[in-house]
Amino acid sequence: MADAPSLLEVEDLHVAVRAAGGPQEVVRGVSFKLDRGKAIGMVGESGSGKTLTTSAIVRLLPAAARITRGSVRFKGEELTSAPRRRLSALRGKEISLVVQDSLASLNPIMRVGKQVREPLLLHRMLNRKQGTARAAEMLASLGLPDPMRLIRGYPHELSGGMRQRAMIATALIACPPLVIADEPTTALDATVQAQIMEILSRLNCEMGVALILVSHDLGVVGEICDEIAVMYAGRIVETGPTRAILAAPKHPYTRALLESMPTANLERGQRLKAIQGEPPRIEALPSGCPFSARCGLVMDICRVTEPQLTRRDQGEVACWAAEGAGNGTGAYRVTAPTATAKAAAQADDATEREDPEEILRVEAVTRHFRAPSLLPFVRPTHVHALDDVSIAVRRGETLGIAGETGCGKSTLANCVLRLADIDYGRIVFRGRDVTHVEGEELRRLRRHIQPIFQDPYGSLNPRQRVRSLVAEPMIAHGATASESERRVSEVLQFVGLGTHIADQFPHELSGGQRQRIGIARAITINPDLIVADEPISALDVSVQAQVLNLFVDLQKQFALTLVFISHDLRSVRYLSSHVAIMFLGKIVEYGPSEEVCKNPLHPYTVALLSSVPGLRQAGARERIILRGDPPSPVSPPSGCRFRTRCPHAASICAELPPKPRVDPTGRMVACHFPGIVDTASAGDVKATEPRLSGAEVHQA
Amino acid sequence: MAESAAAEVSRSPGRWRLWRAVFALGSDPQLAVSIAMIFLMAVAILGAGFLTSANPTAGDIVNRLLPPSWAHPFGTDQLGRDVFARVLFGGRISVPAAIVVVLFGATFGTALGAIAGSGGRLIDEIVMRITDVVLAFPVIVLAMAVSAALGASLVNGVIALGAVWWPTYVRVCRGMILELREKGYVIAARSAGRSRVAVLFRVILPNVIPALSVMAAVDVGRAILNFSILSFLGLGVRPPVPEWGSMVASGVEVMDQWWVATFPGLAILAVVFAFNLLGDSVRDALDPWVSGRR
Amino acid sequence: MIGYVLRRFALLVPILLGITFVTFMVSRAIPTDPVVAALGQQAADHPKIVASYRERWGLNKPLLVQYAVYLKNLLHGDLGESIYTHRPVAEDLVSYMPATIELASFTIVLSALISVPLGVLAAIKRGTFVDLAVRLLTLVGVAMPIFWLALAALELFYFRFGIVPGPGRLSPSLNPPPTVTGLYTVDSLFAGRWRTFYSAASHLILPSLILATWSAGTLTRMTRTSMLLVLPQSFLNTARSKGASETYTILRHAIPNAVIPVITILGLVYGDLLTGVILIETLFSWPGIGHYAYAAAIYADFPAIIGITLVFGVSYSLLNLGVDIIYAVLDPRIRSAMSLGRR
Repeated sequence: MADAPSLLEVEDLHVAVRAAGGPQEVVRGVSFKLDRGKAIGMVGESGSGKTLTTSAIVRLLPAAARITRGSVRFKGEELTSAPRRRLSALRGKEISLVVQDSLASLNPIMRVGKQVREPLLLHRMLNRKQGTARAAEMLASLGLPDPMRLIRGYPHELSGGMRQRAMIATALIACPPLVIADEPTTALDATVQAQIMEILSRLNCEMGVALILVSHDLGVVGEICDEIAVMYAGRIVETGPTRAILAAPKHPYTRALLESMPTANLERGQRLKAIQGEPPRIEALPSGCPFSARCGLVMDICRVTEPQLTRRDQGEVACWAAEGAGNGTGAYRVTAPTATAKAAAQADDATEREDPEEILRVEAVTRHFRAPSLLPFVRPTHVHALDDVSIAVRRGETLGIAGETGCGKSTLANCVLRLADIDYGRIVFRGRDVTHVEGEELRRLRRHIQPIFQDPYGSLNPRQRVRSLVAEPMIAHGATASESERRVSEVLQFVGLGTHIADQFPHELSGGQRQRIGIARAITINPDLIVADEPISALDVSVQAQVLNLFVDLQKQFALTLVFISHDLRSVRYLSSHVAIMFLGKIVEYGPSEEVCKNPLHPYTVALLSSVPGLRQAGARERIILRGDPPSPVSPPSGCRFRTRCPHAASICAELPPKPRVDPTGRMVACHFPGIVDTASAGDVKATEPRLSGAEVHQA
Repeated sequence: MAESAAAEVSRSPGRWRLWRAVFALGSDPQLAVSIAMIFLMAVAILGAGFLTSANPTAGDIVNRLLPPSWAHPFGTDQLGRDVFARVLFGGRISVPAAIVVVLFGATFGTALGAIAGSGGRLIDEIVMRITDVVLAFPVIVLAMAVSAALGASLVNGVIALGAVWWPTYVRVCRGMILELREKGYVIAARSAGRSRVAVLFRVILPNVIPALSVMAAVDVGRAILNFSILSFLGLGVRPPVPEWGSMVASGVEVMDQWWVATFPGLAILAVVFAFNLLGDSVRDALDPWVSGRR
Repeated sequence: MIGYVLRRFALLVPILLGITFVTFMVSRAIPTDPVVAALGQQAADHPKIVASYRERWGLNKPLLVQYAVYLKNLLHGDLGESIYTHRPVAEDLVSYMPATIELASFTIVLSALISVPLGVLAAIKRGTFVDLAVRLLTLVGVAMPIFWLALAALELFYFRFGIVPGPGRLSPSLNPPPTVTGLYTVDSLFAGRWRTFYSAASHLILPSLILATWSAGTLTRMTRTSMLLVLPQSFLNTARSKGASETYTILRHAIPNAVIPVITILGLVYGDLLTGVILIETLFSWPGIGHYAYAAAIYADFPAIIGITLVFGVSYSLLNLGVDIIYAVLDPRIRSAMSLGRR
């Protein structure tokens, strides 16, 4: 007992999962320490073993998994061999857990208040009444309005952000010294994600709670944690202080992860340095270093012997290349755009100025969803999915559409694809009104507009082979067998899949491969327009970069006209020539993507940009945390729909919906005070002269 | 484990399915046992003539109510008929009758379900309300009414059950189609340019039919049970035709000679159990549609 | 919520109309002369009776009018006269109903008491011997020809061993208790007649146990499936991570979530239950609707059959309505979906 033990010490932890061919080690010797009040981030892709590691710490592993070796000591007490009763006494009181999916993690038929106060009752710290009061207090302190009402609510009545805060409140209510947060912000919208990150960072810095933050996103982890541990195939491959790792990653995998994020300084059209291949399946690990098959610096020894973690500078790395290379591998930076890339980008712009043919025009499109009323003879309520949306895409352009859940971006995609009907407005495709084409005509139209879907699992028929899946659009439009056969192999080659894959079924392929097939399908018949709805969000980080690169190649080779829809501003900015930012069924800002990202005019765009870790440094702006959640589309706020969350809202915002203003270069913004940046109170700003001319959207 | 093997089989399309099925039998004892039971019983029923030389309908008053022996493994009944032969030959009535009932119910129900699921709102509403109404009557009650109206006979029994057997299939088939219509790959096929009809016949139905076929195969057990109930109540097959339900009924008069009623009852139990066991093995393959049926 | 209930009641109307239409059509689809079928051959030989009968049921008018007349008579509680008992069918139904309700309720309670613990146990011990045993047992239960089981049980436990009372609702030496609800167990308690209560309860045991083989089998399997769907859900891990013991987690979080969906299959169980009621009441001489139905079917007592079919169809619809409402009350998610108007 020379020096006091760390709060948590994990040593040589091994976890095995029962599988068909005998137990498989999925966590293979993880060690780390965490001191009181510190935060460590565990980063890795799916299957890296990060979640099993944290579940093993609190011994809440799934039934098929168990700890096979190693030790976990909490305040010096061994947990791997502790009796169940002791673990129950620790959980919730000393160590708490916040997990990803807050809807699944809350009991659907129990009121929220009861669930939040439960730890206090289980550990006999307070009685029911006191517990409820404490729960309300806790929820209020996390910035939730009207906690007394919340307490009586059920989980499904809360928004994702509110639920995640309720989960955090539950974890904190017994004041534990250690909180484990497993992907706490995944699946949340960017602005809500920012709120949660803020809370986590506060509880770590101000309340002195030690934190283990598990995430697939280095950016998220980098915001909060003192230290980072990068996991790959069940091991920590690199660990060290956050600053050191982000500035000078030593393991090729860490470096590749950083490179595969499209950051602010990356030019459009420049390929990402994606890692080849996909994360290995744990039951088929290669011999030697598990990363060797995907590594650019692979040496002979890598394929034979697995490297151990060794001390280097401030951190530890498990890599033979890092050993040998010595000081050679310096700090990693995203390479500055080369002259040629810049020239290419300019050439791009030049061609755009020649005003190529307009492929798609969406004119004042409105779509309601009707929520039927309960009683007969009462008018149904309308939900505004799209409200007076207008956009245009010219040949060769890529229009990025960004916005949060429920903003209407997918509805817009479905309207353009004619999978959803519209209530008002027009859709014009290559000069022809296609709003109401039906039947055979619609079928022929579809030859020219092809979709790429989000879910690479659901969008491929499990009963069709790859060959017939890729050929489907061609066959549907009357191609002969030999034509389509030739074209299928051509296209498969292009999307980076061998022709050997043509005889396989979707379930035999990985997520990345399936998404490539989705893309291959869309390009076989050379459509004029491709509409891609969240095409990368279901993929692993390293695979996302590969697919983004594929899009870049398509843009270059085919002068592709693309509508690219994503909640991820990073990839939208990276791929698009123009962006439209949507909020609650309306486009609030539109313009060339560089312009919009460098100089956002709408407060929502400003907030959205600031909430993305990779983009923030661009303008060196402070992170802006928006209040509350996106309002309900059933009853949107009066006037400007964004006003309830806007830091600059003034009285006029509640009265009048802002008219879209367009400047001569075609930039559009719908805000009473566009370009407002100072944080002065809204009242003062009233006098500010809008920077843009008041010209309204021209109706073509 | 048992469920996963069956699910694997149903999910894997193409030429590997047969091999996978054979492989799955090895790794899934429950499935193997149920198929073996059904196979053995099918052999016994089809080969009844080779297993016994007794005539199932020929009475022999001298040898009435004999207990089981080598000559009469299941004993003889009030008329001196061999119960063993009657049980075996009885299968030739009950099983085909049940299969006809299920075949009719499944075909008619699936067709109606497909119409409801892919037609317009009005058609859907009409079909489903009619289905709801028929579903409101317990199968046996409605069959009783029909059979009492038409008079008790083998054919009328089949008609009575068949007339009320289809609503479940309408519901399941329609439910599956509605769910599939929202699936990514169906939307993808539509936007690839396939016509409505092509989507229904090439994409949706190939995903519906296999599950419904399995459901129908398993349903045969339930049909056998219901048919025997109808006969037991005297509303299906009439004596002297050997049918399991009516054989149990005639055994009521001679409960002291337990074998008369026991063996036909056991036959029903064994056959229905085997089908249920099969159904239990493949149930996960059908989920979530079938387990949620009402 | 109230809106939802109202809407459901509104939806009941077309179903009830459909049910009456089906029973009407069946009664008219009889190949034999409906007058003969309804009145029996003897009465049909008297032209006077036949004429008045035709007049009363509008048999000489078009089909649609006949249906209207049928509906009108129905609204007045006139279901015709039973050929077998020579009493109004409605009166018969009312007098036989309580016995069936008593038997069915007892069976449902018994099945629930058996099923929920068994299903939960099998799910928790998934893949073990206990699970296998429970599963096989339920499969046998669902496959059981209960008419045969009832015969065997009567033969063994009543005739051979004499450990249960025989057929009927009460021992012959006792008089039924004064009618309040019509359920002998309840009425005897009201009257404070303990011996009667004991006799009524013990007469219930064997028939309801046998009747429960089907419903308990179905319910156990449903509970197990439902529990298996709940067990891997992450809110249970949340409870554990708060410091809840395994027992607490199962009892407070898992079981309430698992039991709610089981309620929705009560409609399915009901069909089996009625089929069983017909068989069991017949074999146990239980003076209920099932027994009445059997007799009606055997004697081709058409007015009675139609009346019974109608009662069964209507009670099924009402039961399903009740189930849906209970479901909405117990599950807040369904409740919200209802108030959004989704069905």
